Parts: sequence; C-alpha cells; structure tokens
Amino acid sequence: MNTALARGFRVGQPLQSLLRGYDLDSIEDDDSIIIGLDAQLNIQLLNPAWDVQAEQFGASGALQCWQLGRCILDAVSGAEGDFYRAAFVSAAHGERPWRWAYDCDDEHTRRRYLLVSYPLGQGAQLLVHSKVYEMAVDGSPAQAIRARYRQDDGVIVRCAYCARFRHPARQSLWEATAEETRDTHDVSHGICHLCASFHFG
Amino acid sequence: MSPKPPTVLLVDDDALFLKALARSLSSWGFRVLTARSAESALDMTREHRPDVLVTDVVMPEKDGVWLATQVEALHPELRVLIVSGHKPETLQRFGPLPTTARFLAKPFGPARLLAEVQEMIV
Repeated sequence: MNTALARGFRVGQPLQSLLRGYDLDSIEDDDSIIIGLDAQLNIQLLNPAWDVQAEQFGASGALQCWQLGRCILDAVSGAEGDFYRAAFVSAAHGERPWRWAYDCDDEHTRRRYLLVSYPLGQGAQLLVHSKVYEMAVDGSPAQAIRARYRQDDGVIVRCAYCARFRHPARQSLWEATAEETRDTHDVSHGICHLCASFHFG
Repeated sequence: MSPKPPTVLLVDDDALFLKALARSLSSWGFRVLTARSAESALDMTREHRPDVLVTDVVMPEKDGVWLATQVEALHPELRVLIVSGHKPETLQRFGPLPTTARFLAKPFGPARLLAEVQEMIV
C-alpha cells in the first residue's frame, strides 16, 4: 500500500464553502481525528491524525478503505449504527456542538474517548474524535489529566466551550477530557480554534 | 463629527480568546484594546482610559480579581466585567470580587457579551 498517497489533509468539494471561518491549518495540525461529514453522513474531510492513529493502532488498512465519499456509518452496524445515525443527524442540525463520551476498557486498561460534533449548516458537520485518557485500571483519571496538561507557568488551560485541554508542549493542540475532571482553581478557561470559529467566526 | 466610539480593554492570557472577542466587539463599532496580563492591562488603563474593562481571572501572574481591585481604587469610573469559567464563589480564593464589578460566566456567545458591554456603557 502506498501510504504516501493516502496520507494528508483531504477536503471534499461539498464542505469547502461551509468551512469558511474555520482555521484549516489548525484542523490539519490537530492531533484529534477530525472528520467532516456532508448531509448524507459521507466523509468529506479527513485530517492527517486519521492516518497517524490508524498506523499507531496497526489499522493502516483504513488508509485505503476510508476515503472521501465513504459513509461513516459503514464503520458501525446494528443498534450502534442506529444510535450514531440518529445522533449525527440530530447533531448536524443542532444549534450547539454535540458531545458524546464513551469508554473502551479491557482487563488492564481504562480508555475514554470523546466525540464532539460542530454543525456547519446544510446538514454538514465536523466530528472531532479525541482520546480523553488511557491508564491502568487502578489509576486516577483526574490526576493523570492534570499532570499531562499543566503548563510551564503552573496554569492548566481548558477551552471553556468544548472543555478540551491545551497541550503544554504544543500550544495549538487541544485534547479532550471528560466531565469527571473538575476544574480546580489553577484552570484558566480559554477557547480552542474550533470553538472560536464556531461561536465567534 | 461622529462621536468617539467607546473603548473596551480585553484582558485574557489566551490569545485566541482575545482575538475572538476583539473581532466581535470591533465589528459592533467599539474601539478595542487587548492585554495578555493583568499588569500590562493596568498600565493600559492609565494610558488609554478605556470605558469598559473585560478581564479573565485565572492568569499566570497577577489574577483578574487583583486587577479589578486595583482598577476600582485607581479608576473608579472604569466599569469592570469579570469573565470566568469558574463560579463566583470559587473565585473568592483570589479575594473578594469588587462590588462594582459585573460577572459573566464562560462560556458565552458574542450576543451575550455585546448585551453586557452595552448595558455597562449606557
């Protein structure tokens, strides 16, 4: 497989006009997987994080299978597929971003992921898929998150709108967290590039 | 000659948040100044005499409650809007909020910000 051909930032024509006001460079650089969907739930945007994470999880076959034009619901089936179809359709027409956290644990590891959907208009949406945490089953999610996101100046920066944290080493990178992490007094509330575009763009 | 537009000084350690708020307020006709720290904002209040100060609270050096308290003492005519993702009772650890300051909880949209600032200027 030629991953060099598959890797990269891809935006389909149906979404291009709807993304005015969004910072495409930040979307491209974001470590969260960002997927753009048209009104039929077909993929019309993929950022490079898709390829990076597919390789990390040994699923690089996805690089060929999941390209622009493919329906995202092809990845799920049964009741789960019905749930996501209803959720994505509803999210695309919402007035606010839709958030959905889910767990993917095994015997040794706890993992939490977060999906945030930003409606773009005309039934389209941007889906942001982020890992909230991955830790041993006896770990403390709150402590792990606070240690990971503390900036050099001691402050933890969190988007006041989507609740993602700013990464201390890469200031343009925002990563997801879960509702269970309460804001302590050292959390400073800012805004990430996606929420700035959505709410103030 | 058209009247001078009201000046709003925005204070937040998050550059993107400053840019977003500044763009909204500018589009509504306000003159907008920005500062990334409470100390530089205090200097700017002396130099530029803004009409409204909009400040975040949790910042790396001096906090927004410190700034609002200084402003209340030095420039009592300057109206102050404290914006924060924390609840006012949580912010008490930074000291009592000035009684003349207003509070707006983050997150808020541009329309809500405009309404607050307009009310403070009238």
